[in-house]
Amino acid sequence: MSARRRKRGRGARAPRAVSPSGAAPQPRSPHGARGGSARRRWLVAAATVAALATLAWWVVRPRPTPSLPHPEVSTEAAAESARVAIEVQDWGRALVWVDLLAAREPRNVMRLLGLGLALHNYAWSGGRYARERSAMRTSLERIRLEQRALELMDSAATLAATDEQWARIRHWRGQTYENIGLPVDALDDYAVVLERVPGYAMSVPRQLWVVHHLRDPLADGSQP
Amino acid sequence: MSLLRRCIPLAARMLSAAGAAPLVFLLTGCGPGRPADVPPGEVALHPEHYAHSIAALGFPGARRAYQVGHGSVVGTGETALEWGLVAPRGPVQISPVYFERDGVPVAHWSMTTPGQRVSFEAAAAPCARLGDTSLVVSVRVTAECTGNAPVEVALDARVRSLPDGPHVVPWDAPERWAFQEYWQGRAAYRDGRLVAALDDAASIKSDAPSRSRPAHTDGTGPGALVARCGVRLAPGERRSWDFWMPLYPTRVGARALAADAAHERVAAGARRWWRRILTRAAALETPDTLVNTAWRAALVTLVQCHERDRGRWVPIGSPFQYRDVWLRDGARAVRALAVAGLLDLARDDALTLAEYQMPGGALISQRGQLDGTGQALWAFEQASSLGADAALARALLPVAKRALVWIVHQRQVTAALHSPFPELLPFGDPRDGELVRAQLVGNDAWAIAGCEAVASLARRAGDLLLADRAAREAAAYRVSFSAALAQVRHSDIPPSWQRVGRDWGNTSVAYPTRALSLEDPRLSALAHRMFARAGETGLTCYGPPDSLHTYNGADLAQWAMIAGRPAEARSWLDGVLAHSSSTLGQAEIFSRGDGGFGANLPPHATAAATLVDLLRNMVVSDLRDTLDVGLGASVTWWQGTTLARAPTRFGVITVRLDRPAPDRLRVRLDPCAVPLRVRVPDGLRVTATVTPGTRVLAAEWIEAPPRTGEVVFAVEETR
Repeated sequence: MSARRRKRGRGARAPRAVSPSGAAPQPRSPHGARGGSARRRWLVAAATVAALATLAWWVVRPRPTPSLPHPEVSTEAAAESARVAIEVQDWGRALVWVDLLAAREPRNVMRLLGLGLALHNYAWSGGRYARERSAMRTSLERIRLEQRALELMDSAATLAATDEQWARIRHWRGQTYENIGLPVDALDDYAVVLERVPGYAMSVPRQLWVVHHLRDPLADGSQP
Repeated sequence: MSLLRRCIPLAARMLSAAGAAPLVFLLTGCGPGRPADVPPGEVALHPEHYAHSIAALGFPGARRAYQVGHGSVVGTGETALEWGLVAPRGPVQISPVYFERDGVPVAHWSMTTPGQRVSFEAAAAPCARLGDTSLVVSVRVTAECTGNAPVEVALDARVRSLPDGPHVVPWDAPERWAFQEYWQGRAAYRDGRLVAALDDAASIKSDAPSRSRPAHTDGTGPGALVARCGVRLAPGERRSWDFWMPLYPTRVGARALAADAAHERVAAGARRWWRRILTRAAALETPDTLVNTAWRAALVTLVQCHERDRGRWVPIGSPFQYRDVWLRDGARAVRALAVAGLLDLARDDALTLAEYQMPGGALISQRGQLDGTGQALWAFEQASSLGADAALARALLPVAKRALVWIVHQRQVTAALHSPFPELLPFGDPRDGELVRAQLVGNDAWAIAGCEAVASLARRAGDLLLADRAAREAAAYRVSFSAALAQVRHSDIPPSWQRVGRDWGNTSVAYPTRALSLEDPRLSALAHRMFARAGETGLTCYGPPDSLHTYNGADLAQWAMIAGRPAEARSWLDGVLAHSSSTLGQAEIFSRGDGGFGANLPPHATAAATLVDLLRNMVVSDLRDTLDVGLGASVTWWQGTTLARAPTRFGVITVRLDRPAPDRLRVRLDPCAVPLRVRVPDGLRVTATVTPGTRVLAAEWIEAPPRTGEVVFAVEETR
């Protein structure tokens, strides 16, 4: 959904380069006898200008705001609902609200990150806390959600406006890899975060934990 | 037009476009045809070795399977039909569940009491009106007077949710076990959906729940829906009743489904379809009929353990509790299906496994299972090489290349961090049989196999640079692996480099991964430690000595056979066959004491896969650069064994072993472009070669040049 909106946005800007005022003036004919032909040329030019003007108006015309999902729910209320759902680890509900927020603000990097994390939580942790069955029926469905989650995080990182935003996104990408059980992939993310934002508070302890366990996998006890 | 009929052309077009045209027939269900044209099957009576007799009636594409047993019950995990004799004259004996001798999964069992026997025949098949993820099971119940006097037979059929014995609740079963249930005619409805239908002759009490007066049932036991089939039979006389049940409760009416669910039609359809599949697969015939039936039963398990996703087949772990994909199981399924000649399924499964790639290149299906990358790569190579499929290699090469980069990077990082076991994969926390978070030996063995697989795939796809690079990575990785083994100071091969955990992936270091030389003495020590612990069973233990595992010792059995110790492989095979169900399915883990398997129901797809792989390799093996014949064949097998239509890396061949005279052994096979090595069975020794061009290599081996079609040699008893 967010991708479709971005595409529509790009399409709206591009035609502005076409301007009727840029059309070259047509030369007048010195000969009255050939006035018919000149008139025809004038008419063609006028029609062309009118068509271009119409096209320009069509492109830049004011349009109603596209309908948002659940318009009755304010963004603030949706954010609060997402926060509560995350707090009680109801990942299914969290996904619903975070998805709504990301759909409303598709270029908001924190919304994209939130959606990625919600997908990741839903994939591994199920619909609600202590549910007997996993949220996904098969690992194939689960892995697809993880792949989508990581894609969203990559998009968010690309759009990040500040180093802090970028670091936060890449940190959570690393955390996602860590949860999947790929410690070296996680470490790669923590390392680039700390390279760009030295001392980034969230990544320092995670990097230490992963490095420590790569050197000593049995640390903290690992046998049942 | 029915849903299935509408779906088939679309799916067929998709698969055809994907180059998988042979799969199309798998989508066409049981197909049309007159039931009378399909001969009935012969019941294969095998002993039940587990505490409970349970069989799976499934079908590829379905999202569940019917559980038959324990006892006289058939269930979907959501609804069950249970039969019981009313006021029997004496104790009722219920037999185990049996399938048919040709391998067809049509279930048979009986209830016997003095003077009467009630026999059951159950078959499952797709039904167009129910869609392509559901099935219908039809059960024909036949009562017979077996005494000298007439007998009154009264049989109750009850609708319930779950059977009393071991069972599995499917993922998509309801969360609450409360229903409004009623009869409509002879059809049972729960919450407005059809769950079962009875024979027209079944009687239902006048005050039984009806649509206008439904009953409320709570819980998983029997509810208010009970019907009775009664008849008086003279000696020798019989009477049959038919029942059927959709796999999922449905809103399609009973009348609309009745014709499709007719027993003759379902049973004939199932037999026709499964016979067709088994005819297409490689056929193994030995003098041991139990082995032959086990081969077919294993293939049936592997085929029915398939679901469909976005037009591709998906290999799942079992028909019941493991309806999911684990790369560690899926890879085994790919190999087994490929060696058994079901290459279209193997190819499709391999493509499905490729979907598990993460952006970083790892292939992972379950949290922390780092062996998945190597296993998936190995499976790609199996499907591609056994199918001589360069197009598949090209299709999978981008995935394989990214996976190789991931493996190399993992090793670089563990080296850069000065891990105690550098240049290996990092720790994994697989939450599976290993029961530990550590650097797992099996992960590295599979990753080495993965690097070799990339080299092979790249060669087949024509990317020689990548092939060279992957081969060099594999060689370097082996050096690191050997260094770690030297460093770990273990008497054999530990489960992890940290020496903790349970034996799991470490059993695969020789076969199939070839991470370690077959001659390495640690392998012998590992096999001895694991097999000795399970005593005379031929199997291995998992955890406590009372828990036996069916497939965990399979790779060591393969190694033993390749290393020239076929008796150990046959011992494992005997152990598996002696601990199988009456339908020749294998539980994953069971109690040595009482045969109980808890909720880990048979059959298990990986047990089936390893059984198929071993049996095939016992007759013909292409692990080396020669074609090895008779590696695991006993003297008895040389009385006449045929493996027909068997794909090998050197082509599809048929191999025959026989003994045309007491002092002569003979191999006949389709000629291949590689040299042939024939293993002389234990108990015999070669006295001379008869076929020109062949020579005795050692006491146990005859060598023949490429393109040899027959090898005859003289033997004598060694004892």
